[in-house]
Amino acid sequence: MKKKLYRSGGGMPALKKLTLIMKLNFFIMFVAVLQVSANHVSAQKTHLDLKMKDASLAKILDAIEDQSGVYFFYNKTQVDENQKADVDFRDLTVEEALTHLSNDLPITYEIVGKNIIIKPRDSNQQVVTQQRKAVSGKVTDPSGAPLPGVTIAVKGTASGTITDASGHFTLSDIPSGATLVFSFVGMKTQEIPIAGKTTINVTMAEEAIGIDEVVAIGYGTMKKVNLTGSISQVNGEKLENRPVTNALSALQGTASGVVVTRSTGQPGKEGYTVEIRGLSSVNGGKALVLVDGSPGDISTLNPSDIESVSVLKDAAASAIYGARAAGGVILVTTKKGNIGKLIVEYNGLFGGQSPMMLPDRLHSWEEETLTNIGRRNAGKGDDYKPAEIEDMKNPDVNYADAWWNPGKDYRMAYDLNQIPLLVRDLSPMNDQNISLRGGTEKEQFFMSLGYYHQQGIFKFGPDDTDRINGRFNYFRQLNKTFSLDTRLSYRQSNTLSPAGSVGGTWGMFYELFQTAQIFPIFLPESNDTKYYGHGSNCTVYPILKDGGRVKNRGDEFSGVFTFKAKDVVEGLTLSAVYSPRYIGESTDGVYRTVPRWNRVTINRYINNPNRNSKDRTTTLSNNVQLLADYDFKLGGKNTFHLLGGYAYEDYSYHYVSATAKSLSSNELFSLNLGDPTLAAVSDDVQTWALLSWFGRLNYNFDDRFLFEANLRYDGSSKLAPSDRWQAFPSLSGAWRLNNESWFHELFPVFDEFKLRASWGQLGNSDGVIGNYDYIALVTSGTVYPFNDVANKSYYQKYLASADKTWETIETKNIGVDLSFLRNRLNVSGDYYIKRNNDMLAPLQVSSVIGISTSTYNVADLKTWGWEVTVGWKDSPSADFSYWANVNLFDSKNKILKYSGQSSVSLGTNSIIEGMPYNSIFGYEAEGYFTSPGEVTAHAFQNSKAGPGDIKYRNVNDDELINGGLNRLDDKGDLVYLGNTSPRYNFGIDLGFKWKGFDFSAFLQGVGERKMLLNPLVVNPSSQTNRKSWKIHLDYWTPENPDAKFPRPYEGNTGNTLASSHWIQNVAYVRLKNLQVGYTLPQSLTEHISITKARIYFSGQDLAELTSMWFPYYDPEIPNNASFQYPFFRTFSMGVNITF
Amino acid sequence: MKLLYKYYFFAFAVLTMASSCNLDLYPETQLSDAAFWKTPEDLKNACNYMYPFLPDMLTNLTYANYADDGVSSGAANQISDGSRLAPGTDSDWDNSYALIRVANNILEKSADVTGAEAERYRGEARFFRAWANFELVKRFGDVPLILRTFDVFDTLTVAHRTNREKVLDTVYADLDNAIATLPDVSNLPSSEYGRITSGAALALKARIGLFEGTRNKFHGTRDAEKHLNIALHSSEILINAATYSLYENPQSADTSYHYLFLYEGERSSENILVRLYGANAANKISTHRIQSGEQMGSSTPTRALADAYRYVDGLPIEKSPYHKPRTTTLTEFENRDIRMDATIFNKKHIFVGGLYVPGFGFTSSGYTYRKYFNYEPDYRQDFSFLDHILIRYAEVLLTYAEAKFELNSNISDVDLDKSINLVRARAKMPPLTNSFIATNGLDMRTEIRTERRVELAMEGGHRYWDLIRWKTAEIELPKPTLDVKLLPKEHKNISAQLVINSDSIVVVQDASKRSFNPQRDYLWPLPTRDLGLNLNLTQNPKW
Repeated sequence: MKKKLYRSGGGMPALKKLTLIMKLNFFIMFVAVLQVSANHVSAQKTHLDLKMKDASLAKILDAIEDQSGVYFFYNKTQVDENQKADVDFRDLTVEEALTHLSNDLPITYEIVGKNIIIKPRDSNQQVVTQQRKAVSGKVTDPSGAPLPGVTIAVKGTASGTITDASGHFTLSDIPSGATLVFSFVGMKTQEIPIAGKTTINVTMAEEAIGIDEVVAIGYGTMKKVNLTGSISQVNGEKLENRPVTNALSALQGTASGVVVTRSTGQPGKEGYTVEIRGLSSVNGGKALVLVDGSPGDISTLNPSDIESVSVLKDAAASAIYGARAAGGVILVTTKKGNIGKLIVEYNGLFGGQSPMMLPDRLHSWEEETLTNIGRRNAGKGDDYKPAEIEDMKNPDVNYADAWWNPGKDYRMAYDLNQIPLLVRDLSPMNDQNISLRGGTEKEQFFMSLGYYHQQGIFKFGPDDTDRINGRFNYFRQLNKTFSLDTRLSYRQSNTLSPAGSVGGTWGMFYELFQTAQIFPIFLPESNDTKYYGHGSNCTVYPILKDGGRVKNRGDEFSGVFTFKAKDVVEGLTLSAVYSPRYIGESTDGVYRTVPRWNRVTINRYINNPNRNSKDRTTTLSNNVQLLADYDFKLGGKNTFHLLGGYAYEDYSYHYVSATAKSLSSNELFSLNLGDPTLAAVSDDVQTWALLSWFGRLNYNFDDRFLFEANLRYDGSSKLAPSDRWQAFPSLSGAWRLNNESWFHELFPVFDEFKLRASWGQLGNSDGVIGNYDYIALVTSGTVYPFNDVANKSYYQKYLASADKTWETIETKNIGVDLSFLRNRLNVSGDYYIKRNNDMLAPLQVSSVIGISTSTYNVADLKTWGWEVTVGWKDSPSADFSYWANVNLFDSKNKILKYSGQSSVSLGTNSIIEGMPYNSIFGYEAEGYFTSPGEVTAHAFQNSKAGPGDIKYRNVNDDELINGGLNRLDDKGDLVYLGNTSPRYNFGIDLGFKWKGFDFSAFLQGVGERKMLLNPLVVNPSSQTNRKSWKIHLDYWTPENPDAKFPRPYEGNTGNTLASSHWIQNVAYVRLKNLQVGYTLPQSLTEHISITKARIYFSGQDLAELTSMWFPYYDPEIPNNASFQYPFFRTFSMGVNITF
Repeated sequence: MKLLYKYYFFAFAVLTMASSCNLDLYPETQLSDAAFWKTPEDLKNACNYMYPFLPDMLTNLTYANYADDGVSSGAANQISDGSRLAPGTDSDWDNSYALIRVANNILEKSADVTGAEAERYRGEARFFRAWANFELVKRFGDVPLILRTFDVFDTLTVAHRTNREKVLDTVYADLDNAIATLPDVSNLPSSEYGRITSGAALALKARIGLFEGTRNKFHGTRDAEKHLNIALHSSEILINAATYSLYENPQSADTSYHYLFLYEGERSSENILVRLYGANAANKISTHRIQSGEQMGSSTPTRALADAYRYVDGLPIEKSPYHKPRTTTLTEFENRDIRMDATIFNKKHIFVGGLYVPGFGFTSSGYTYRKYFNYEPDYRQDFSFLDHILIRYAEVLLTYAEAKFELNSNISDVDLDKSINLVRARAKMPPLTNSFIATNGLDMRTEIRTERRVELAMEGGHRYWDLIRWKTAEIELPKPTLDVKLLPKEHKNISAQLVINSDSIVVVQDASKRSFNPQRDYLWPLPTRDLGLNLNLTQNPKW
């Protein structure tokens, strides 16, 4: 209401106060404002003395304001402020004075607290006499479906209502000349004059992208059109209804510049990482994740609670977060309550997951034959004689007496592929969410409860994860000025995993995928009561069945309390935010002893002695923010926004671990039952704190020129006191050409044409600088058994580095935002350069130093790239709408300078001056040697080289194939084979809605990435205990000269050295998500009080195309990985029901 | 009114909380270097860190393959057959300098701790520094001599190589200091068994003296006598002090040598320096798996070693009347030096679960090492706590005899009796005398060297370093690697690929694939990574 009224004339008491206030510090200001409002309650009792002749109404009211402290409001178009009167008030109250005045002039007044509204006398009378009537109608969305919860306000009054479940509304007793305002989240607000009608039906139109869209930015929000920095926003609904473990995996591919990767498929331990705009530092530049403005973890959030995710990509956008923002900032906003009727939503999803890319194993006799071939090539005897191999083929012979130990052991001849015995074809998962929301003008709430469960890959044993999320967001307007916003969340995660290592070189997947299949799980003739023991073979079954379990539980409580004073003086908002966070994590390991037998005795154990370990981790953090926002205008065209703030954050991590061994029971696991002499305890405490001051200025000239400046001053406990503080500035500007009249005339097609440019500096400290790096420490080392007791030892592990300081990353960005064709087509492009001038890097020093060195600010990294986003959205008819969004982005990097000596070695090299990060160096394969003569004629590779081995190019034409001095200027025969950074990342999101049907498909991929295959996976025949797969049958022989694999050769690692032979280009495109849904017609659901019911199919990671020729490596797994917990394809069905 | 005051207090509380911020945070669970180095107990704990640098039990197998005594069932050894290339990194190089850093750090930081106990731990640090420097010199010749700790920007990061004579002078000085400050073994409480003693420092000094003395003598470089006198003098002190003695098994004297390497011989008076392992199945503080290494053939004995053993008459196979054509796998063990039986498996021995079966399942040579092999429970459990004997008294006796002989080119029967003959007596071998040599047309130097070879077989790389210092590697290593005589009736798991020569002797590696370059191979190549990082380092000749 107040917005419709103009402030009274020139007195501006509020502004006078403001100038005074500005001189005081934040604390005083806050308190003073509170006191001002308290004092004026009694202002009207002040007595006036006022004598003016032929004075304008404006002057008279000003004079009254000056004496009494009341404020006048009136509409200049209705009240003539220049009408003149003579006044002579003596010892009158304000009310008495106004009564006099209203007798002299055609005005009336209304006192509202300290505010007094002046109105023209006749208009008031008109309203009183106006005819009043009732209006009703129905509100629908573009598809014709009823819209519940639409707010309908009678313009210019406090009355209004909300549509019911079927979209109907009724308003009674309103003036027939009134105008109704229909508003709903995500829809265009419409104003419709009643004009005498009694029925008004409204179809709401969806709000066009980009026009009024509001984007979360650092410490606030901003209209998207006014942005000068580079920010991508992902709407929460893109992350919903996906059968994925967490919001991060759903984020993959949705925003340009954001690369999400995972390392394994193990439930609850997927190891998701996010990288924004390529590499910020070789030390890692973690994106800073803020949930509702405070540090949080996106991967443990309930995806259904997310309203939007905003990714701040350039320095302009993220400099306000200073020292922690170099890796980019992800702002997650959770859902709020709404004004109106209670809305209850249920979302349930049930599905199954099937593992991808399991290796195809051979029969036992085939794999042993390959082993024998490898041994013969190495000049060794057969592992199994031909007769023994015949036994393997014979299904009636599974074992025989052991010739080396007659009567006491078996010689096994099984053909037992354990993968189908232990691995599920389909592992169930389900995801359930229920949420309630509602509220009034004064208070709004959102509550939700979510449950997620995923079963792992194994048919039995401990292998699953679940998560419970609870959230309560509550907003309360305390009075006109003050409000309190409270966001509370709780999360519990439980993960069960086997009591043995799962992935990796010697993990359970190695056992399943590569150990000999001639061995059984159970000892023959034992009636499946005793496990067979032979080396580490066949341990997966007993570990899963009887080996115990590891139970991880995480509990997280977090809250964000925002206490806000709005318009304490016009345009000034003060906020105080306090956000505590608690994470408790526990790991309970139960390691049961399982005996394994040979024919007569126990000869091996799993987990001997048995043990019980309990680890407890408590992480506590506090975040305090004090913010002042001030909006003001100068003249008609200059709009300003000022932000000033202070933030303090502390973090502490407490870890306690206790282990008991040799428990007196193998069934009950408790620390109380262990052998006291073997008890072990340890702890760790890590702390850090960050103190910051920051400010921002936004200047908007006539919606044509936009300018923004940020400055943050950070102090960190991680650095030596002398190097502790640093400032991080940024500047950015934009030009909205579409608002220039000449441009609009020339190019009317553009609804939006904005050019952007930014520059800024950001700090990189999270995860890069250790908490106490500047302090020399003494670390406990290996114990030594003097007197059969574990004697402690201490040593200096690293050199301390007192001079270490922030990595400062300078970022430049230019961009363009375009909208065409009635805002249906949106195009956005960015080019950026990041420069990490003080990158921390280890100094390569000759080993004579004898100690691990720390990192020093000696390197310089440049990362550059571009991003393009194109989006189309249209709704050609009320029944049909469709959209397509494409994002494509690229980044490259190069180590420009490195003061240490670059060492070039075989394989992946992290830092070499002049080369990209993680450059792979290796030999250039020239096919296979085909004859012994060719081997001798070629430069010497190794003493085992022979026909069928990979021939490496003799680059430097000397007598040896080697790496020279391993320097860039003397690297022998090593050549650059590419690097591991992904190039040309893309995401494609398409879909349509037609009547009740909806369809969406989401594709994601990478255009180029180099990967080195792991030697153990490509060449198992180099070791007797590792067995080949079906694909390895394609090995070199004189008859098969173009084979994929070299000849088997036990003990020969010469073939698996890093070389172009084992480099893969991991380009891929993957159907990440496919959703097909159907919303039941409302006519069916209405009578059971359901406003919306949708059923859908949602599939994740359904199919892919990849350029890799090695078929058992998923294109998403990390470089050089060995045996991984496989990724899954997920198929699910779900329902969304709204009551 | 009342409500507004609530906000006032709320704001006040928030501001108070904000003003309590603190950026001075210190480690709460880790000791700072400044707070350490205060008491002798601190020094002891710092010294404890050096002990795990002592060679691991499994290095016995690795080093046996470098020489002509052992061959792996896997790949042929590239040091042994001369096909090695200069490595990028070298763990012996890296670990030696890491140990030197730890020792230097202790010597520097402990300066404020005084008293005999502190002196003792400084003595330990000096012992380890000497140990590491000798390991470097032995392999690489001239090496950077690092006598202080330094930071990454220090000039020592680009240190030049120091003349080996100068390095060894500091080694001797360190050892002399250790000898003076460390306790004698007789004063060492049993709870401290395994800590460095003055005897260990003396024995190391004798070992180094012998290595450098004979190396200089046979390679024709510098003054051999200085070092040989150090060897002689140091070993003589140990012999005269009589603190150590050869182990005798109380139950059966014939098997003393066998049990010396099993739990029966642990903590015997013969041990001068050991690397400890312990403690029990439930509390595996430190373990090794030498038994599985032996069973899997990480190293297996060669014919060269087997043929070195003398017959019970003290004569070599060429001369002894006991020598017979080998018709069974047991023939060659009959009437032999009992140390052969204790070092190499035959059909009479209990092996894995039952009697040993000769064959080629896990050995390309047909032989299997028996020294340190303990089936029950170590092999079966797949871990072992047998201590690794690094220096034992028998070596000191052999050093004495060899130093004496090489200094004077002869050795008296008296000196033989106080040294080498004690070792032979335990093995039930006849004493070595000048007349025995003359009567049988033998060579004293050869017999002294052979005694060392068989007594110390598969221990600590002695054979490899002996070949290096005697300058005989160029003769012995290019020979073919010969192994058992193939006896198809007894041998199991014979592969079609097995190569045998005209005498039915298994040839694991033919002479054509073996070489030794005397200009190059007597010194090891420096790791190329270090050469790349420090341009002041030069590579050894021909590498």
